Amino acid sequence: MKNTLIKAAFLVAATTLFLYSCKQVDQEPTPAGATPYPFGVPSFFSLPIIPADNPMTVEGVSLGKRLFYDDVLSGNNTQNCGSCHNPTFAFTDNGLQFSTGIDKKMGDRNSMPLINLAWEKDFFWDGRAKTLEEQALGPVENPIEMHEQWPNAVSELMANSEYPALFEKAFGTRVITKELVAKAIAQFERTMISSNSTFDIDYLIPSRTLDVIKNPQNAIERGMKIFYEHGDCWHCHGTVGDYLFTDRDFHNNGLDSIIIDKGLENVTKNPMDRGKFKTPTLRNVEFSAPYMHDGRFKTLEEVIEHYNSGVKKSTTLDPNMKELAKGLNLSAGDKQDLLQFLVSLSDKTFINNPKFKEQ
Amino acid sequence: MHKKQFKIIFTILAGAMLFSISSCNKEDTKPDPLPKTKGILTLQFSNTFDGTLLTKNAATFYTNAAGNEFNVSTFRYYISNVELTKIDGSKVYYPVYKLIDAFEESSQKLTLLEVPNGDYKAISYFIGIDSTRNHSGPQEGDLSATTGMLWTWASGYLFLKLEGFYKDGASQTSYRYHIGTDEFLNKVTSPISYSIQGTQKNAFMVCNLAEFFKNPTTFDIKSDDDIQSFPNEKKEAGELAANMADMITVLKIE
Repeated sequence: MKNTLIKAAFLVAATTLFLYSCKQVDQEPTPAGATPYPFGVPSFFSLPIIPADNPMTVEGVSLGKRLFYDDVLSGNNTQNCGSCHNPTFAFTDNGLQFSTGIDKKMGDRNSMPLINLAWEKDFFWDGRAKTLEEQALGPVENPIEMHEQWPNAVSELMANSEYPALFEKAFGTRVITKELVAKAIAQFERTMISSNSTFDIDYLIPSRTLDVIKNPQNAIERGMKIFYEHGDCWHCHGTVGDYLFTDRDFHNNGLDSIIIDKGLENVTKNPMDRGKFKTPTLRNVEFSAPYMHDGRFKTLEEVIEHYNSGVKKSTTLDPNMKELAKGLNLSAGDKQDLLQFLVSLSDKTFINNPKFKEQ
Repeated sequence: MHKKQFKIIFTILAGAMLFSISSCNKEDTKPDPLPKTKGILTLQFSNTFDGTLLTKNAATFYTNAAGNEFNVSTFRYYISNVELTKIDGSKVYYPVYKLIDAFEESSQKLTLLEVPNGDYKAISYFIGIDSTRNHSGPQEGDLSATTGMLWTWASGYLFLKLEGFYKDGASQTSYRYHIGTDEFLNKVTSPISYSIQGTQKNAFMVCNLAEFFKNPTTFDIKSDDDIQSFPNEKKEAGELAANMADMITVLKIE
């Protein structure tokens, strides 16, 4: 027995060493009995910060997935998180501008894609949740979304024949709380990493230096040049080296001269934040139409045209958008190239990953 | 696994913890018999406008030397290559790269470990990044691309990023100053006497944003509200970079 223990200890030590070399994410110890989730991230991403009070476990992720797709979290048990966050659409709502809740009421914000959330820091278009755990609590009680009361949902889960045991495995307690539900869902959501697009495979995985790639014969590379140079997309969607394709911040990107939906201002109460919304990632943007916080643009062509010729001035227009407001004067070919670059960020292994899909 | 095994493991773990705790206590309570030959110097940066701590996206605007009323949404700058000069002229060099963000308190401390005991007469540092590191592409830590301070292609890093809004007549519009490129690297020396004797000291560094807009050139935001240090903006970027040289002062070291 002693030998077995020593062997096991060696194995753990060796595995730890091996995992570290693969850019493994440091995490706090997991709850007693739960298995640490081997959370590796691609070398071309920075290391995400996992909250100390919610380390990822195999049991937690699995429970989170089940909860994500369970109708029990909605008032009349007809909707789940996946209803409006369908993996096939980069976890957005099936191409719809707005989502319809259980009471057939329609929202006024476009369902956000769920991609690489482990790196994000503020949630919802207006940043009203500071953590992913806090975000997960919101839609359940929102009267125009899942319109459930948390105590109800928790009672239903407690009465379920399987859930208490699953919570015990994941969190060491059979006493279910909304906080634990949110933690499990957040753990599952943090596993949704997309890093296997054409762009990743052709440029990032082989560690090619983007600086020297400007092949005029290649549409993607012509588009990349527009993205990083004249088009000035990178100020908000990530500079060379920052391949999450979002700066994880809030900006007024010039959609309107008179701003109706105040966005971040509703949260901060600061008029300087009027019309600012969270920068979404451009990864899998091909699948997440329509676009903007209100889904006003149906196609990527419309989005590109907005930045090319449609940026409107207002008192809080982002400092990095003012130059664009003068117009980019992209040719039809330039726009096609930029589109090709954006489409190169599509990751079919992500949207088709069975680990993320309802079973 | 058997209870016995658990007990053994638990005992070992508990023992190790106790050991580490007690060894910590030891250090705290009993002074080292040998006098320490090195200390710690922590540079603490506060970011102000003429003595008032900067507030992100303030609704109340600041007024600069040219009379522009403005606020700040982003203010970040690099401090690197710190050098401490002893009174005998010898120098201690630290190859550090620190991004100070006026609105992220956790970014505002730069700790220098193992500072040799002695009497010092100056602190020197770069506002920006030396040419070698400036052109090595995205790097780790504060030089990672996720900071949003790296320009694309070969241009290197923004040494300073200042963005916000100003009043232009009755309306309000944005400004953007991104200062960088090797030629605008400021190497600053602040003369101040201090003594390091085995303990920790704090250097209180004050960055006064008012200085960005004056001394030697009084800069009018309305004259150019968007400078990115492009080749065609060298004159204006150079004026602002020269203003930056005396932007930071060492208030005291204690």
